[in-house]
Amino acid sequence: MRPCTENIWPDAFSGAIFALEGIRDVVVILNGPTGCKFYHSAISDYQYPRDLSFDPLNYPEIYYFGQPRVPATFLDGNDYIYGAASKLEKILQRVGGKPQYKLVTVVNSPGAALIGDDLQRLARTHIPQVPCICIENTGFSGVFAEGFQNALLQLLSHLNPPGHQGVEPYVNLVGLSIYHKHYRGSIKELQRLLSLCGVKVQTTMCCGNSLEELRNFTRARLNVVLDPDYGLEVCQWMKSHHHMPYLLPASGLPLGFEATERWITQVCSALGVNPLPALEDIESCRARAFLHLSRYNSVTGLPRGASFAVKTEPALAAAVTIWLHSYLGMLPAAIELLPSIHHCTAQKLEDYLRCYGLHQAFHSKFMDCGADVLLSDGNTLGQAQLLQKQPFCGIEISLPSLGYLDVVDKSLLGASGAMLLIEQILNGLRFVYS
Amino acid sequence: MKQIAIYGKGGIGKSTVAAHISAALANRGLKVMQVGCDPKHDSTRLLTCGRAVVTVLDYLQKTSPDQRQREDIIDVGYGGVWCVEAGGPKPGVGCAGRGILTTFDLIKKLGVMDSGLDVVIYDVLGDVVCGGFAVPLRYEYADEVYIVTSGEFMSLYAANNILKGVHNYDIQPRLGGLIFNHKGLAEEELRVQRFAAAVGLPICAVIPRSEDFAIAEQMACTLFQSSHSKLHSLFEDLAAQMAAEHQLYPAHPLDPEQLEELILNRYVMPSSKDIAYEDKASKLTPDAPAEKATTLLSLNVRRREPLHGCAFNGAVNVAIQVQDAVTIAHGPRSCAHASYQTITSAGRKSQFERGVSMPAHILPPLISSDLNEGRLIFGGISELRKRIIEVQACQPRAIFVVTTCPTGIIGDNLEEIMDLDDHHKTRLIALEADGNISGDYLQGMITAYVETARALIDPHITPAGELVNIIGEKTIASVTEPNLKIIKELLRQIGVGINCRFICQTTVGEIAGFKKAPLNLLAYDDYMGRLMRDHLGLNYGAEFYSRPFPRGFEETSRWLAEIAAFFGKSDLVNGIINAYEELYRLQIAGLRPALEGKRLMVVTYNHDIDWILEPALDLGMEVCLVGILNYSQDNHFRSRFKGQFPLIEPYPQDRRLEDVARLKPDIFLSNHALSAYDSGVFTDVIPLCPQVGFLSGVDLAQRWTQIFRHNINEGWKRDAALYRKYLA
Repeated sequence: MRPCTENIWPDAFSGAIFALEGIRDVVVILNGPTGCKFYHSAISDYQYPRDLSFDPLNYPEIYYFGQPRVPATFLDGNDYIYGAASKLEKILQRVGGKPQYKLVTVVNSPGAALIGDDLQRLARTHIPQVPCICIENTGFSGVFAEGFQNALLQLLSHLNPPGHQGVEPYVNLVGLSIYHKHYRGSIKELQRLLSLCGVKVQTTMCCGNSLEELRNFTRARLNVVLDPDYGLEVCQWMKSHHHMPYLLPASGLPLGFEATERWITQVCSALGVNPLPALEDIESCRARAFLHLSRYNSVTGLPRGASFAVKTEPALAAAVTIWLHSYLGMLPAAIELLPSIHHCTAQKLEDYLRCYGLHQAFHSKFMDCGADVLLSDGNTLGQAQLLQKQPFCGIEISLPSLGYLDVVDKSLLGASGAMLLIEQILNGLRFVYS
Repeated sequence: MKQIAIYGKGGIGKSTVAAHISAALANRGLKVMQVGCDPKHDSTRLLTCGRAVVTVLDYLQKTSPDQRQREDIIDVGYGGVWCVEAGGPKPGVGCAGRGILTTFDLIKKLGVMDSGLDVVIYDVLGDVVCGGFAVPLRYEYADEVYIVTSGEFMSLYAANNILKGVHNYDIQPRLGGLIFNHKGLAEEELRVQRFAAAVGLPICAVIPRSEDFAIAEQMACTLFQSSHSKLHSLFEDLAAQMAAEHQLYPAHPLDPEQLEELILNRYVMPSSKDIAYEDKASKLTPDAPAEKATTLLSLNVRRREPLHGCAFNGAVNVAIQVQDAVTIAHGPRSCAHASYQTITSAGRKSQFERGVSMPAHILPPLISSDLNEGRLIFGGISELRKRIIEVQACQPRAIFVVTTCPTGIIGDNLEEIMDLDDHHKTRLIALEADGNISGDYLQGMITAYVETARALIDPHITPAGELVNIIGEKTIASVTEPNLKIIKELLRQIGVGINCRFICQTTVGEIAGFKKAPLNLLAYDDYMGRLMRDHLGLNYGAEFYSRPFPRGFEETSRWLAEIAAFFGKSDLVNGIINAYEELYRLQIAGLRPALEGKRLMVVTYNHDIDWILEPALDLGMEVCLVGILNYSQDNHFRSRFKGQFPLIEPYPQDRRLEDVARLKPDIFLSNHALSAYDSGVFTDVIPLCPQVGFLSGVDLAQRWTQIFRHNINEGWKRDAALYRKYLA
């Protein structure tokens, strides 16, 4: 039998849940069966841990089913016929009344979305004193990022923030989720670079902020879009509803030295602050990278000419491809893009590759053509290890992870992200070319 | 803007009434929109002079989200009335209710409601049959509700049901009243009047039977266009009444018996049978015999407990174990995604932690039919057929199709794809799990076991040779492959081979040849294992050895000896057992000085812990408490050491901290360690699926010895306050 399957990516349903689960004091009630609950609770807890133990006996409450997150109404066949109003009433009263939750959100599972229970009415009736938003239909098989943005938009439109202030050089970073690999380290790195220039980050929206921090998003002078699939519509909404300007840096994600330099320069320029301190910091990193690359190159001639393949979302794929090609002199062998909302990113990448006569990579698959380095998610890397006869180096840039526990926060973005990728590529190529 | 919902039994004339109200309102100079909420999409036909309107649901199917525009779904009819039709699937397929939800969602997204409309009329299908058709009743939609009815009993019955729907939704009174559409029946008016009085609603209009309607219908226009009918004034008055501020009424539906008595003058006798809902689940014995496939139920389902996981996921997890088959998850991608990630999580873990590849868990042969909203409204069978044909090109020996909650809800019928079943090339096996509609995770596993056996096992094969089948291995447990290695080696030593692992890392061919093996071995004597043993025994004549995979010295010795005896090879066993006995005694003697007299407390989901108790008692440890937790996979605690320790079964989940404080054990064993926050006691973790063989349990005791010998105390456990300070 020919292999005909590959990793199955999350869809808009997961996008909505992970958006809301990224806010510290928000509870996501799933109106759905435990089959939908277990996975989302486990991933939310793993990506953004707030509890100390995996022991199910620590979470004995009925709706939690031995997990700390995403309490659920545990719908069954009868509920699909008769509606889930009574279960919703009970869970809203019990979970919604907990003081640690500043906002209750209710998300319908795909099955529940078909039966049409009026969630908002139930919330208004049973927890009138608690702020609550309800997402009745996250979409079926929709793009993950779309579910993420739609949930975030519903949340923001509910928040009633203070009027746009924008006096201090504060920014909001929009377009990362807790389902991004190394999201915490990437945010810290961008915060560090911006703070060197006197710029503070008000909120990253759904990556570990409190509801209060999120509510004050209007305090920022500027919204900066990281990945347009995850943030552009949100920034456009903030512009139209709160008159907040936004910046969609032409350089794309700040991944790699040059893109990070251009990103910092653009953000600082928009705020009228001096980018030099951050640029100097990046320079020092480049110097260190140069030392290692030069020594490595003098012995092996690499990484120049080494081939690579990428399989991930378009914004990340574009940033990685352009940097590995333009800075390390590596050659793209296969670029596989996941479904997206904004096709312009993919188009830009294809145009870039065409410029260098490399656009064939856009129509190739790693499993068919192989490459020295594969940058993707843990599932794809594991599958490549199983099927590929030639040695290759796998680098995780997306989730799910193979399972390495990151005690030290790592970044994919900014200067330290660039250093991490160089480190992984140089060590990986040693294995490939040994 | 005022929003008005017109409800009523199918065929009662709602659309005609709604169209005339819209027209009359438009004649008053109001900007009106009429939304037809009926799959047959002819609500606005009289307003558009018979022109068919592009339905919202057809439009959604054909247009990408970034190209959707308000104008495309609106047809302008008589008097400038905006005509919108929801549309929907053909009768008997898909989910029309979801279609209504989707239509309202698009109307909202495209900003139609913010277009300066004065009145919106919703013309809604017959009865409030499900949540979808109740959308117009939601708080943000209908300000007023009118019910069109005749004097027929079924029409009034539907009206009463609609009142029940309104009652469920009502925060404040919203009913305008009844619109009585004459059918010309005897005493019809009287019945409607009685009903109106009983439910406390006015009759807002009485529409007589008139040829004028038939003429207008034929001309595909309203009475306002077709004639100078006397009926103009009736609708003009009704429209004027609706446009003005007026009293609204709450819903007071009648009981069905009251309704029958009121309308039919018929007294409804109470049922002579007093149905007692006996709780049969509580009387079930652990090993109730399986009668036939359809009666095999998981423990969770039998006990009517909240369902743990879903049958879809359980079925998928079994199906992907057939290496030369492909499984199609029929539903939205989220279902396949969650299942896929659960499966690969074990594979990634194994690959990362031990460098061991579990092919089915690294590259599970699972794909999704990726149903989108359109497919769920109109039915997903055509998409599924396409997907099956694509997969057939990869030449698998079998294709499993597993259904999810959404496809179960919309009623996709897998019979419609069974013509693609090819007995010679690719078998097609339908696993109708319907998400969790059929039950929990274990119910899905049962479905997969039963249906796979039915489809693939060749009943004509007769047992021959020194072969065994292995039944009911835990496919996602990390210990499954190491355990198989141990079992395989033990069997090899007595010259017995493995025929088929049912169903774990196997093939269509191996399952087909299931009956080759004269003996079957249960991996676990848990609820599922016993269920499969009974089913395979009853339906396929499978003979089973009475004990599961052995753990600990005593069990393994007996297991090996009895299997050898079955195959007439007892002479090979003594030497093997003696060698292991020497090793076991030696290890126990070495561990005894450190562990003798230590107090051991166990709280666990495992229902068979003799592999722990055996070395603990041999070491002279004191077992101060065993607590057995309720577990969806087993309900039958057994121990040959019963009576030698205090036992609590079932053990209450919230009691362990209190018992730990009271009993002060030296070692607390559980399936998860107690949090550093909660307790200072030394805890160790026991796996849900333990290692098999002569030395199970001894390895665990070895670990405790090290800890006691070196008096290990972890410094990090003193940093709980820092955690609270910086991160909590």
